[in-house]
Amino acid sequence: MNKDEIIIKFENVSKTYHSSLRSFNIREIFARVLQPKDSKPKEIKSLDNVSFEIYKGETVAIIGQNGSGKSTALKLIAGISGPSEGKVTIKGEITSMLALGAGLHPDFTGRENIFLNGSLFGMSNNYLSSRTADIIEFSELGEKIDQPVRTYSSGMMARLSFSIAIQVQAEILLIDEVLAVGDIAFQEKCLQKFEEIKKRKETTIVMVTHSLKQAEEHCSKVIWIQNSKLMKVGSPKEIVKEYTEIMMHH
Amino acid sequence: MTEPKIIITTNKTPFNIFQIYADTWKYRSFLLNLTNRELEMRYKGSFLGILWNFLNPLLSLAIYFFVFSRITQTAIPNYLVFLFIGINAWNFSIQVLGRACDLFPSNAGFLSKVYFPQEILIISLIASGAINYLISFSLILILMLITKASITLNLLWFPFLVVLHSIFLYATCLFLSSVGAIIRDLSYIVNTLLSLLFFLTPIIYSAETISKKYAWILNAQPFASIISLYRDIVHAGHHPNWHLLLYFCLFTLIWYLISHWIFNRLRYIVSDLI
Repeated sequence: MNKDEIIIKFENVSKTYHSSLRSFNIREIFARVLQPKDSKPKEIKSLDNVSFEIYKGETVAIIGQNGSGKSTALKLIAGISGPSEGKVTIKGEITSMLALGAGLHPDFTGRENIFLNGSLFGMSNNYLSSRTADIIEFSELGEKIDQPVRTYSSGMMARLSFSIAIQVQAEILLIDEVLAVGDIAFQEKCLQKFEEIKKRKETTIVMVTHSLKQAEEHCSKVIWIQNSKLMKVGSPKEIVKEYTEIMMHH
Repeated sequence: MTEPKIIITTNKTPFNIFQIYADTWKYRSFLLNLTNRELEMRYKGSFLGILWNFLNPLLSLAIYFFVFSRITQTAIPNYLVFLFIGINAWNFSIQVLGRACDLFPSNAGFLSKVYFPQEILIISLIASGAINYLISFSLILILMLITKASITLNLLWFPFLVVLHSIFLYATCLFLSSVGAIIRDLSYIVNTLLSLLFFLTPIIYSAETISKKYAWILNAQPFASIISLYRDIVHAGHHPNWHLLLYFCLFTLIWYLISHWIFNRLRYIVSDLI
């Protein structure tokens, strides 16, 4: 396989949210029809004409301030949302770990949740049964695995979620701030698992992070998004340096 | 290694039914687990548990039977079986449709965080409804044996009609769930319409008691058509009315294509909203 193969491509992508659509009800429809034209619905541009390419096997960090549009970019890659303008091209299967614990059912036991949550990521029940022992071991839940998830602490939930999600053998792995969960020891373990996946060079990893240290240490490329616009794409060292300088001035 | 899948999304992603269902098939384990959860959760914590699946239809049957066969007189032979078919088929419909409008908002936790085909949630809703329907329908067979009603080979049409009925509900859910996620008032409108529809559907009465002039209108209403078809094969014991069957199939097909097209146009708007 070609090493320089493009896996993710954004071409002039914009994403607009219509804030007035949020609480759409009959009354508002009538109001919209009856009102004169100049009362246009409010629009929030979350991404503005963004283009970039991500190659096979790269580990990419998307950085930027809160509300800059990084999570929107991740949602577009994941296929949860679609662009308002432009074109997003994705080559390969995706796993998104956008929020750990999203698919956990509180009344089900940890073991039952392995199947419910794992299949939510597109894994088959057969595959999950063969991985159950690994998942339990990695999550360090031990006996607790057979108790309902509502008795878990948030750290335990995150550990279970991460252990399940990491089993997916996808070509693209999307991660949103998940490495900030759990205690330091578990975070270290996650990062190690991460390095293992990276070494295989088969998986392309895209993560949103606030930790510049993580971006510098673990990534091969950084995409910097500021106020919905693409600021720069480049090597972690260079971008993190520039980013820090600009943030200092603010 | 197989060719990697290429997905291109723009603001006008083409409507490709085959792609959608290829994706849905990939998530079949999730569908299975979700349906299981649905069935387990329904009666979780109740003392009688799964027994309610039998008790619910039996109790409602008892009430209707008492009111309509003892208090008012009916000329329909074997009214108990007649009534049971109508009530069960109707319950299947409203159990599914009553939840369709709120389906996406109530599953926002999944939908806004992980990608999977949204159709899965609808299929799972219908699958769990259909399983409950089949369980309570098995009571009809017992009832028919007790009342010594004639059981004919035409009963073999039943699975086919359930599938057809499910596809019709699926199409309706595609419409209600996507539009309902955007216009929150829809669920109230639908609930009112459903209680009105109960009387506009020959459930407790027969379509034949309506004057011939208006009977066709009743039959053209899809909820009535499917109940009529069920009664043909179970209660009357003959083959389904061919014209009605053809009509219902065509209606379902066209309704499905329209509603799935709408669903696809709203797909990303819905996920941005919830």
